[in-house]
Amino acid sequence: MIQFRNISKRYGQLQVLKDVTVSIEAGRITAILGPNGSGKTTLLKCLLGLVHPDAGEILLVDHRINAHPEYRQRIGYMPQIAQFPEHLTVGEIIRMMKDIRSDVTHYDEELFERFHLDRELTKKSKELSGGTRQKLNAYLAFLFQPQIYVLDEPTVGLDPVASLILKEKIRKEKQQGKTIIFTSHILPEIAALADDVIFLLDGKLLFKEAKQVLIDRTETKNLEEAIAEVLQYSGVEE
Amino acid sequence: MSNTLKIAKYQFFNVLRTRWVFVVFALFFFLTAALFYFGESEAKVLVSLLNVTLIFLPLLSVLFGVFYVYNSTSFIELMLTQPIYRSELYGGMWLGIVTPFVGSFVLGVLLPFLVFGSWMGYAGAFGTLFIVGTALILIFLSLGMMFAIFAEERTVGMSLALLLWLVLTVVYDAVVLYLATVFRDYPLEQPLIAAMFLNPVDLGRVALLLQLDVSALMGYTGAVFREFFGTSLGISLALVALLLWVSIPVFVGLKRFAHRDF
Repeated sequence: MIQFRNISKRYGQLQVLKDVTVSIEAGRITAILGPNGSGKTTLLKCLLGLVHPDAGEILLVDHRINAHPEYRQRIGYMPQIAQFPEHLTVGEIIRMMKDIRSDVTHYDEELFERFHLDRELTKKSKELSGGTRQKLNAYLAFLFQPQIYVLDEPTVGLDPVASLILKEKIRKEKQQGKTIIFTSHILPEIAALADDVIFLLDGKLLFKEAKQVLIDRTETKNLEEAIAEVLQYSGVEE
Repeated sequence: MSNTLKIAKYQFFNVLRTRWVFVVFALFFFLTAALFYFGESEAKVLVSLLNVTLIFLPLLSVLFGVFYVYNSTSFIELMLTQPIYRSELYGGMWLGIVTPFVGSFVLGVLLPFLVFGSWMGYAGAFGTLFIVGTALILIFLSLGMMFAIFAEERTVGMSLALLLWLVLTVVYDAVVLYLATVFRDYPLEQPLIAAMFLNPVDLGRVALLLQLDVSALMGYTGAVFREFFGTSLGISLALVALLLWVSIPVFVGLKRFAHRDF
């Protein structure tokens, strides 16, 4: 579905991504993990066109992504932190997004109801709590029923109930044949959700493997132990 | 409706509800009303407004331009992941920022003037005030946005904005004055006119003063300026200069915005 080919990116002195080649399969949930600063978010931002890689190319369903924004119709993105125009109400923000996506006529309002966003409609965005802002953020990512979801640390900042709702939603979308990519630090969460695991370390791809294959190969009981095992063998200490 | 206009619409409402826009409106409204109320003539009202327009409006505009872009960083990120062009977002933001500012300045002056003032003999001068004020808002908001796009560090962007404001409103005049003193034995009218075109604040000041009788106080130089601005060529050149002062920062900012990483 998505192929990253030889992606490199440098910010000044810092080489954030080093020759990353990895592909993401359709209809699966892929987790990207790695320590802070390992390039997870940058890799996703390359896919979204927010960051221009110094080298390499990205193919989306066999088409190279370029400066034309149409390809982003297929992607729903949930950033790590969302800030909306301070003085707009939640209702206005939702209307704005719908206005801009006039190519879409059928909306996915499930999270709106489950997160009870109707209670927040008349509140200004600056009056929202961090958690509510994150709920709005998640709702907007799913609203336009894209084929691909890109979720950057989706459950951070959500309360346990909302976090559970979101995870259920992610699983449900997978059953509909959608492709989901998310980053996370929380191993149990990755273990529960992901089919495939991509591990980035210092901007390099350490491995990409199906979760079960990884566990079997390392002869461990679960994902946490498997990852600890791999890190030990590659001489990395976290 | 194009994406640019859709974005502009929501940005407009967002900016309209900020304190800054209200401050601009309140300042010009109460100042103009107060000046008229205390029985000042139209000419004196204009001169007082002139100074506020030339000093205060650029400062507020350039700071707001910088602030607004920095505060919108993560919103910009979110919007850029939508299927829109970067130029559409930049254009939409620009329009949405600029219109409430221009509106509150023009209304702030116009409303008291309609109540207390008289158009007789001053329509041209007030028209010039509106053009100069609008141009300064557009120029300095565009410059502020441009600085924020170029400097990823907030403090750097703010410093550049303040520095530019200081240079254009204070330092520039001092330097020109100093050079004029040093080279006083030479004919300086043409270099001075050229120098004026390089600073929109000066251009605005001269254009406005020439609409008022005080330009008689400016002696021979005033006469040269008056002659220059009296021609349609002079006025066209001044308008072109202001237009360039708006379009260059918009263009440069957009160019950087289109290629920058977020």
